[in-house]
Amino acid sequence: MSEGQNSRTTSPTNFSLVLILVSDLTRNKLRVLLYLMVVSTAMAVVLGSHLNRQQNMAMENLMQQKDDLDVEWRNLVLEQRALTEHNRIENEVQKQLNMYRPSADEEVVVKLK
Amino acid sequence: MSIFALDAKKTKKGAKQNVTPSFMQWRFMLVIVLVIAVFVGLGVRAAYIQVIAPDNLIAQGDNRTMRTKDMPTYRGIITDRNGVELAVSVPVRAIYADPKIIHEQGGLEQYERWEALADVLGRDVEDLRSKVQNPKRRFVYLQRQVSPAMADYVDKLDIPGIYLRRESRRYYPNGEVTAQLIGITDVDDSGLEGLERQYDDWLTGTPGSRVIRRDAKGRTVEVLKSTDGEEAGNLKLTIDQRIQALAYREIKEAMMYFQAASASAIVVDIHTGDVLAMVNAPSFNPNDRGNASPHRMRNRTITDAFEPGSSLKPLAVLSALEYGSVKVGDTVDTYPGWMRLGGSLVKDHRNLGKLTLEEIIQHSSNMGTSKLALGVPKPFLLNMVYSMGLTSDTGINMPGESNGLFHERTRWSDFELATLSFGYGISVTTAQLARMYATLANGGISMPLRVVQQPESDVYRPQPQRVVSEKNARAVLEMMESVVLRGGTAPKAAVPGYRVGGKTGTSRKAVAGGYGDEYVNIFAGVAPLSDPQIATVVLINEPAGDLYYAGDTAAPVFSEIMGGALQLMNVAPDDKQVTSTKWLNGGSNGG
Repeated sequence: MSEGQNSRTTSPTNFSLVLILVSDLTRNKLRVLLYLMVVSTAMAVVLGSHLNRQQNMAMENLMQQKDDLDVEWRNLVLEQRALTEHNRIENEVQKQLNMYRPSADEEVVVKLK
Repeated sequence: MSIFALDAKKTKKGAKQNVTPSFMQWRFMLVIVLVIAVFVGLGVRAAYIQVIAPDNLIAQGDNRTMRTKDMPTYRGIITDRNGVELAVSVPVRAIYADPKIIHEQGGLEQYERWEALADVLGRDVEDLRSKVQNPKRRFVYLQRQVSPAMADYVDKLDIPGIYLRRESRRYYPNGEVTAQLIGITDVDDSGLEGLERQYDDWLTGTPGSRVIRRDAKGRTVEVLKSTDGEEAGNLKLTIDQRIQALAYREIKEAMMYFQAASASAIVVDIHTGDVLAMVNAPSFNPNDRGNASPHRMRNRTITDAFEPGSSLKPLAVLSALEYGSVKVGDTVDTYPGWMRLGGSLVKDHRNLGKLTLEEIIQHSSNMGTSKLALGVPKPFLLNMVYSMGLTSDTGINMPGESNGLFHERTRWSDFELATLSFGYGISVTTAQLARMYATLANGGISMPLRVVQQPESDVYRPQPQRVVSEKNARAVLEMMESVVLRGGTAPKAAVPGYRVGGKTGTSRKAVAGGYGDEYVNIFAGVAPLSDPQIATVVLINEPAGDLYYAGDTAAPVFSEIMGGALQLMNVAPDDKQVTSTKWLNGGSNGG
């Protein structure tokens, strides 16, 4: 600060604001650095929380999807089991495909040895 | 004040005194003070709000953004040994009303919407409206277990004060086939009967919850707290659904054909004690149990004890063999076909003369088994009954299991011992009988039955235990083959392609004061005899038709179930002349 005042007092009429700013800034590198870091971390916080929210929303969507899929799966399992019930299949193949269980005489046993 | 005066003097001395307005120091100060006061005021207020009493605003903010979400859990899935689902829960909705809100917001005036609601629920509109008449009540269920599609419709009706709640509903895709075994749950998803009840804690999870913050559009932007619920456990049974379905079909047909009061069957894997099928008729539909009377819900294979009759006869022969009073080739003289024991009569249906042990089983001779039973010491015979598990639980660990009925007494008359040898004076359940036959088939090693594969039960289970020698168990098993052959009591129990050993049991049911006219028909058997795999017991209770001998009723049912089960389990036929090599040779020889 004292240097700043000195320069102003030595040449009161011949000064350029930009030059002063630049020289001031170059003289206080640490503070400028700190300032920049504060600003950038602040932005990072903002960005971070924004991204965090985005991720949360995505996760929420996925969890919802998972729940929906689970429900759908449960319903499909029920449908599958109702349709593939053993006695039903046996009836259907007998009626529609004319299949039957082979009797003992018709069975051929292949022994692998 | 002095400064003020000094300044005033100074300004008067300046050259442009007349042009420049005088600097009114007090006014300037006033403005300064006011401005500062405003900011101080704001600061103080902000500090008050933020630091000293922030709770109210935090609460207000939370009210608008914070939500608690419940994470639904569903009751665990019950599967059979191959992973086929036997019981699945699916989410449904409950429609409930808040009569207070309805009255406050005039919900009852929208009569058309109520009509639409009654229509979709299939209820009477006035009946529905009368439920919400009392404005003091805050909660009334209008309908439970509503399908999601219907729930959506109700949601769109948008009647004030009518809301939806998540709940789940249990479906049993196999319906009545597994009804008694698996049991049922009530409308609140807690188990009432069968395995659903036994494993209620395991099958029930606890719902988790998450506290979230949401934005104006209702999207979750932050998860504040997440409590994991406890995942519901799944249950894997030892049942094979195919065998179960087959057995149930046969049992049901038999019950109707023989006009029986009830029928049940159990199929057991002899090596592990796994129950492959456990069926009872009459059954009920667990998905819609409006007509399910208690007698249909009972799992008769484990709850109902019957006098096993002749099906216990192999035990008498086995006892004699184990004690060493007879050898496999020995004969027993049953002449003249009857005898008196302490004033009571033991008799065969005709005089069978001299019988080998095999023929005693084949012809089901009461005289033969009585003589064998009386030929061994009483404690030895009784011990055999105990060690075969006929008086204890089978290890199956299901609610309502009966241990049978066997009076422990110190004094036994000869007649009582004789009747015990042909299966009277003791009551056993179908499962206990199946365990005895499985033990015989398993070379004399008694395995506890089990019906749940996973989770492993942590309660006490009897250990596998050798109860009779392998040689004698094997011998009795071979003797039982004669029963299903020509000349035996149950040729109808034969399974084409397989060697089968078994025993009929036709016993009269005890009534007050003696034995009545009702019969219990039992067939218990093992197959294939060359390398036993499965034991099956079929029980037909009170057949009312013309046929009431086990050889005519239970035996053919046994044959169907056993044959199907062996085929489904890919057990190679052991009673076949046609093997691949022979077949090929036959082909090459031109026939």
